[in-house]
Amino acid sequence: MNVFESIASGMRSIWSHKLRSALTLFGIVVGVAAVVAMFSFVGGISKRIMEDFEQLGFDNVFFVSDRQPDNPRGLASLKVSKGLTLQDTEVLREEIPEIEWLCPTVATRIVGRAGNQARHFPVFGATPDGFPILKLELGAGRLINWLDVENHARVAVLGEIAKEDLFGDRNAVGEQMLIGKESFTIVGILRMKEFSRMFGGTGQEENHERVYIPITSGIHYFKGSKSIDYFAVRIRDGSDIGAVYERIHQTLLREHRGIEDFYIENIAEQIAEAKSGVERITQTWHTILSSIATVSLLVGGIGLLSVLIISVNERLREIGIRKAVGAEDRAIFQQFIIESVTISLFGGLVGLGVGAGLCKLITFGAAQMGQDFVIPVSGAGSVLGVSFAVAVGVIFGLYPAYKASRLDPIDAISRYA
Amino acid sequence: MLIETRDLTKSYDLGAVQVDALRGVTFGIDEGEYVAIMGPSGSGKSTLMHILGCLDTPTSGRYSLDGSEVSGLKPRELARIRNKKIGFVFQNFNLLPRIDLVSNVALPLVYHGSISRSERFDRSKKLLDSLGLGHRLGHRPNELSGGERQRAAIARALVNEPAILLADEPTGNLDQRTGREIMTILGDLHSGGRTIVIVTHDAGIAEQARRTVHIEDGRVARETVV
Repeated sequence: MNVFESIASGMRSIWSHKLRSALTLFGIVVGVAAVVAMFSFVGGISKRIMEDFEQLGFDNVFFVSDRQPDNPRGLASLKVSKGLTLQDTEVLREEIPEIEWLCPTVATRIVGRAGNQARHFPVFGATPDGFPILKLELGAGRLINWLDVENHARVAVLGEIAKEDLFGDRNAVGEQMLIGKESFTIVGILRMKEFSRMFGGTGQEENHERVYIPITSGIHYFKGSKSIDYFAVRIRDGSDIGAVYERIHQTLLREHRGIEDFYIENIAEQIAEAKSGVERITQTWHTILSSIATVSLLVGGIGLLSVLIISVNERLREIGIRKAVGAEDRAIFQQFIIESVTISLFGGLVGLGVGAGLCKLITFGAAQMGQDFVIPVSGAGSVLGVSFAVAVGVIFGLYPAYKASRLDPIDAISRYA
Repeated sequence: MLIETRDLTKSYDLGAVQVDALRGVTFGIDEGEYVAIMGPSGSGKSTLMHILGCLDTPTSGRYSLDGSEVSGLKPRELARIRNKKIGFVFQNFNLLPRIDLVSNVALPLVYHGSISRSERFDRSKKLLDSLGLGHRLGHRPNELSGGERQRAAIARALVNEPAILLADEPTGNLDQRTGREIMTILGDLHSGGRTIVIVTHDAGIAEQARRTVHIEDGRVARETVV
C-alpha cells in the first residue's frame, strides 16, 4: 500500500462518514482558522503602525538646536563660539558620511499676505534638503533649489494648509505674496499625504501651516544675526544611530571650541525604540496566540483521537483481512497514520481558507466603513497553523494506528463474522 | 512434500483452564493434492487451518511449508509467507466493503511490494474474467450475490499465485446450487494443478476432495482416500 492509496483511503474514510468527519474536523478547522486570522490581524496592525512611523517622517532624524550654554564660563563663552552656523553644516557633511540630508533652518513667525487675506505664518528658511528630511511631497510647481539658496531668492513654497488660508481653492503657483514687507513669488505648493488616521491626528498638519523660503533669504530678510536656529539631520537607513549621534556631538563640540551651546534631540532613537516596542508587543502576541492555538488544536486532536479509535474498532475485519492477505504491521500502521494526517491536513487547509476569508472580510468591512485597513494573510500564521494541524494528525494518530497494527488477524477477522 | 507437520500442538491459556486445541497433529500434503480437513466443531480443525495458513503459530511441533520451516517465524515473516504462498477463501467471503471488486482482488498484490498499479489491475481483471465476473469489476461487494462474492474471493486468493489454496467452509454461507458452483470451480482449479486444502464439517463437501483427513479432539483420527 503506497502513500497515495493510503491518502485515497483517508479521503474515502472522511467522505463515507461526513457528519462524523465534520464534527472531528471542526476543532482543527477552528484552531487553524484562529491562528491564521489572529496572526494576520496582529501582523496587519503592527505593519500599519510601522508604516505610520515611516510616514511621520521622523525615523533616522536628529534636530540640532541652538541653546544658551550652561557651563561655568557662562555668557563669556559666547565670544568664543558663534553658535550654530552654516560653516558647521559643511563640516558635518564632510566628516560624517552617514548623514544623508542636512538642512540648516531659521524659523520666525511673521504676517503673510496675499490679496485681501492675511495672517501670521511660521516662516521657515531652509535648503532643498529640508523637504526629504520631513518627507514633504510637492503638490504643484517646484521646491526650493540650491540656486535659490545661493541667490537669496525671494521665492516661497507653501504648505497645503497655508496655501488654503491665503488662496482657498485658487491656483497659487506664480502668484506674489508679502512676507512681512518683502514680496515673494510662490513657486510651489506642498501636498498632504494620505495615511492612516487610526491613532487620531497624523502629525503632519504642523508642516503644512508653514511657508518655506531659502535659508539665505530667511537670514537676510528676517534675522539679525548669522546664527542658525537648528539643523535638521537625516542619517542613512541602517546607520548606527547611537554612534552617529556621538560623532555629531563630538564634531560640533570641537567646532564650538568645547562650548556646549547646542542641543541634539535624538528623535531617531525615540522612533527606533517605539518601533522595537511595537515589535516586542507583536512578538508577545504571537507567543500568546501560539499558546491559544496549541490548546485549541489539542482539543481538536482529542476529537480526532476518539474518532480514530472508533474507526479502528469499526474496521477490525478490514484490518484482519488486510493482514490475512499479507499486510505487515507497519503497512497497517502507515495506513492509519496517513489517514489521520489526511483528515487533519484537510481540516488545516479548510481552517486556512476560513482564516484567510476572515481577513478578507475584515478588509472588506473596513472598506465599507470608509477605512483603508488591509489585513494581509500572514504567511507565518498559515505555515504555523497548517503544520500544527499535521502535527496533531501524527501525534493523535499514533495510538490508534499502533493499536490497529498490533491486532491479531484471526481475532480481527472473527469479529462481526 | 508441500506441507509437512509433525506433532503440532496448540494450547490456549484461559486463566485457570488450559485448552488444548491441537494435541499432536502429524500429516503431509503433496503438491497438486486436493485434501479436505474434516471434523465436528470444536475438533481443532479451524485452529489447524489457521496454523497451516500462517495466521497462527503452533505451541510446539514442526511445520514446513514449500520446503522451509515456518514454526517459530516472526509475525513480519509470517505476513510475507501469507502474502506470497497462501491464498485464503473464507466462509463469509471477507471482501472489503468500501472498495470495488477489482481492488479487492488486487489487495494481496498491494502488499507484495513490487507490482505496479497497472499490472495489479491487469492480473486481477484477468482472474475475474476467467471466473465470469468481468462485467462486475467496478462493483462494490454488497452489489453482488453470494456466489459472485465467493468467486471474487477465490480470485483474490489466486492473484498472488500461491503454493496452496486454503478454503474454510467455502460453501457455508451459500445455497446448495451456488455451493455446487463454487465446488466445481475448486475442482477445476485442482484439475489445473492447484494444491487445495478445504476445511469443512460437511461430509458431502469433503467427498469432493481426493483425500480426507479427519480431525477429532485435536488429533488426526483417520484418513480416507477416494
